[in-house]
Amino acid sequence: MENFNQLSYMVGIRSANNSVSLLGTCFLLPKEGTFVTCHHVIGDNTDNIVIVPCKINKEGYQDTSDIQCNIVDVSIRDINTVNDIVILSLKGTMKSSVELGSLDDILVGDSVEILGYPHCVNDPYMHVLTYQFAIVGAKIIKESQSLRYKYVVLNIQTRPGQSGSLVYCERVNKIIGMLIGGYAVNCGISLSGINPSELNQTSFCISAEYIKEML
Amino acid sequence: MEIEQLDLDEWLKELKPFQIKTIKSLVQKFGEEEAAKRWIESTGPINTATFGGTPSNGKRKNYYKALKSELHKFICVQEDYIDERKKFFNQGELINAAVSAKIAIVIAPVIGLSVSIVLPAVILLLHTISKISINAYCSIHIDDNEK
Repeated sequence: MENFNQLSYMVGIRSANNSVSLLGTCFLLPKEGTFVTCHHVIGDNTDNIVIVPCKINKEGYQDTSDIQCNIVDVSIRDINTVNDIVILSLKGTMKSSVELGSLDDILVGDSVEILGYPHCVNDPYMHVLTYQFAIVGAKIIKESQSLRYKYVVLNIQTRPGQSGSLVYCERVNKIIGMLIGGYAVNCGISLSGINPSELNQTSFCISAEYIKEML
Repeated sequence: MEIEQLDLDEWLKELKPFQIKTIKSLVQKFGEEEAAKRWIESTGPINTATFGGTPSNGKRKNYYKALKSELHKFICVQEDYIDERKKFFNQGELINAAVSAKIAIVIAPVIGLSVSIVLPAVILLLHTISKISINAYCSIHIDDNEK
């Protein structure tokens, strides 16, 4: 996907001393000045939400030691608490040229690309836009508050920071969904803050059609 | 002060299409008050490890209780929200769907949630209250925080 660094951003909260706590990933939408991420990424924050672009030099490298960043203030436009989607907005005309699709267009076995910032929430030096490649393992319906939503299982392990990543399918040339998280049950054990049951290769991507209906 | 008595569909016109779709589905499954609670308290799909945001210690504020408490103050307690009531009701004291949006804008920062979350719940709760008179509501409900 061309110009992927212009689509995918980090989301953070600006502190009083102008530092930023990174919360996860968001991406630009094909409607002017709008971005999408997961509701759990911004949590109950209502103010001081910012997006942070990645910095890639001419040779294509990202300097992990450089923790100076540019930030852009955004506000919450809409939230769907049930399917965990939030639309952020800023004053401006930037928009994505990549259309939003639906998981209806996707087949089990399709290859998809994931763009996000793994580990950015745990380590400020890992503000690294990372490309991943995964196979769609299953098309599933998942419930939230007894309402039913379309997802796919991506056969890849994902980690904190990646919620809100865009999921693109070259075959249909559309963003077909957003990474929400991975499978886990609460096993009652925490190892250095990690629930061991979340360490598996079942990641969940929600259909982009639910993002589209919020625009 | 009274609440306009209209079908829920009329009240929901104040919302965006995606909100109407979700709220109607919740109401169909759980009824209006429980739908408001679930809308406010939902944290997304079950059995899913979320990979972003601030780590939670599992103790989220009881936003639903806070919302009901503020709505109770707005409707029943004369000493609270005096200026807002004056502003909203300069042409009579009828709470309708348009006023519900203004109420949501006032209450949202008090309880610490986005208006986008608060408005659908305010509409559902006001519609529930509209089925009885405000006097009856205020006489049988006291602020949850005072219980």
